Amino acid sequence: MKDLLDTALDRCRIARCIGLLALCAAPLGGCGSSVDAGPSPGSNAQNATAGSPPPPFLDNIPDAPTRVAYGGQRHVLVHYTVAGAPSTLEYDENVWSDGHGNFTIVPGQVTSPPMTTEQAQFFAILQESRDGFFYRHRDFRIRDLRLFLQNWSVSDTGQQETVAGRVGSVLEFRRIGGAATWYRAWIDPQTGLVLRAEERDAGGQLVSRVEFSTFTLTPDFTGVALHGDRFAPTPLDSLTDTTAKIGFQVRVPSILPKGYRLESAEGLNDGTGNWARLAYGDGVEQVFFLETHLPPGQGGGTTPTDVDIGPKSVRIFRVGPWTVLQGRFNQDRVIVLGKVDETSLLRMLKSAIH
Amino acid sequence: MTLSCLESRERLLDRRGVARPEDLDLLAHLDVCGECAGFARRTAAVSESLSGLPRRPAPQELDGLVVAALQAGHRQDRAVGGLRGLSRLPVPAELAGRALDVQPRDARAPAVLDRLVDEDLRDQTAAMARRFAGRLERRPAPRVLRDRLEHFAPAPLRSTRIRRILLAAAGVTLLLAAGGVWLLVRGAGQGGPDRDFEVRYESSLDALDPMARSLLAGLSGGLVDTGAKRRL
Repeated sequence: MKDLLDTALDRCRIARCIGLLALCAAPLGGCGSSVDAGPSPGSNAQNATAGSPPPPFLDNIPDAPTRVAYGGQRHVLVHYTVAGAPSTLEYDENVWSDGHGNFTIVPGQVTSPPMTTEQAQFFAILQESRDGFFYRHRDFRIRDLRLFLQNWSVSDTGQQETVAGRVGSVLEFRRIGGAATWYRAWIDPQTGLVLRAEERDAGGQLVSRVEFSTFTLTPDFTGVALHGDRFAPTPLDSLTDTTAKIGFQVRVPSILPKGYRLESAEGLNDGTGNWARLAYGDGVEQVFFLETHLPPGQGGGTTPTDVDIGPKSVRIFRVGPWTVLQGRFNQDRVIVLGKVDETSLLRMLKSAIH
Repeated sequence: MTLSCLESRERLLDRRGVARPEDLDLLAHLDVCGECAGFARRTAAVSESLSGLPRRPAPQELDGLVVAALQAGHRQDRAVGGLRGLSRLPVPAELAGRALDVQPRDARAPAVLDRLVDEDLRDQTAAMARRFAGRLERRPAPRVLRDRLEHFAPAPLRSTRIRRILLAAAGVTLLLAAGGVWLLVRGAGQGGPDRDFEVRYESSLDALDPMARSLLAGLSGGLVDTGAKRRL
């Protein structure tokens, strides 16, 4: 396991890692809001359920993490296959929310993989720096109820199970038209909070699980450093000229994976240059489109370990349910990342480049 | 009552430069003001010169023009009223002097003005049309007139049906062209990977862009930062 820390330090210096992770931890403005206004979510809730009436607390799920004051310890388990090799990550974390948009996640003990004290401390620093991203994007959540109702079906199992002392309704969420994974979630009907969420593959094998081991609606915030948005990205209007804000014009994809809509467009700086980050959502899942523009004279390396493999080349990575496309086109570096099939991501990438 | 120089000169203009015996205040002012006395003399000289010019009768057509102008909204009346409402300014002494130096009989309108007036008088209808037709509200032609024109007009004007067919054909052509362009663009977006890009499937995260790596680490709960790639 010494490789763990060595590898991380080889890849990037700690400060830069934290900076990049912090950028990712920056909230996606507009998350949870649809691009176009639609009818009131509750009016369509019936359409998303498979046969039975929708649970009345469905409307509360999108806003619950920021609207409800709570605290507790969560256990996180991730079983991902990275390029064909299984990997497991398991750890505890403590989470608090004051119900007014302020929150914090404090990393706890890592169960798997085994780590030295030094490795665990370094890993905790990384985890803490991206707690905002965890809170908003890592866990299962209905982010846009209207889009969710269009793209997902809900099945109420009728079961009531207790999680961390709270009785939760067990629901199953599946993408209409099929997807590589689906979710089973234990929802607190009173608050709309997700007490436990499991992501499973088509064969029913567990992919990930996040669950409360302790939970309270009357948290003690003594000594807890709550925060809102640590970093505020620059909002972009991708339909207009973005040169003034980030130095280049964003290539906006014209073909999106089915059911996805633009949620937000933001400008970031990773310390070496400006990036545009477009986030698309289908109500639950998200696809990210990132682009940066290299100054003239930079880029073009072709060494096997170089990130930049030359113009009109695309590298494809697979990490669990995630597919990552990474390419360079003339002076533009583009990254597309999402839980959708490779063909859809390639189509999306091409539509931006062409 | 003592008159000011401005009031005295306005009175002199009304009297054509010659004060009447009852204008006691004006006479008193002229007795003490040499400049106004000179203004009175110059004004009287100009008035006398102009009054000596032969009178010319106004053209009979002028009455019609005046009536037409009045029908156009009494603009002239309002303009004259506005001008009369303005305060009068005294004529500068230099201008008055020049007027006295000019022989009145030599003063005449430019030749082009004579010609334009003459043309208007000879063809009043055309002149009236030029001046007022442009201000008329446009009205659509009656349907019966259109029908008659289409009946007697040459074929290209009459064949509305043919024109409609041609327009429809042009529209369909445009739609087909637009559809073709759309299909080409869409085809470019949907083409196989090997057609547009060189696609490489990576079995390691070593070549992952730092930005993509950090984003993926956040989405995976930190999995990519635990050295998972070493197990490959």
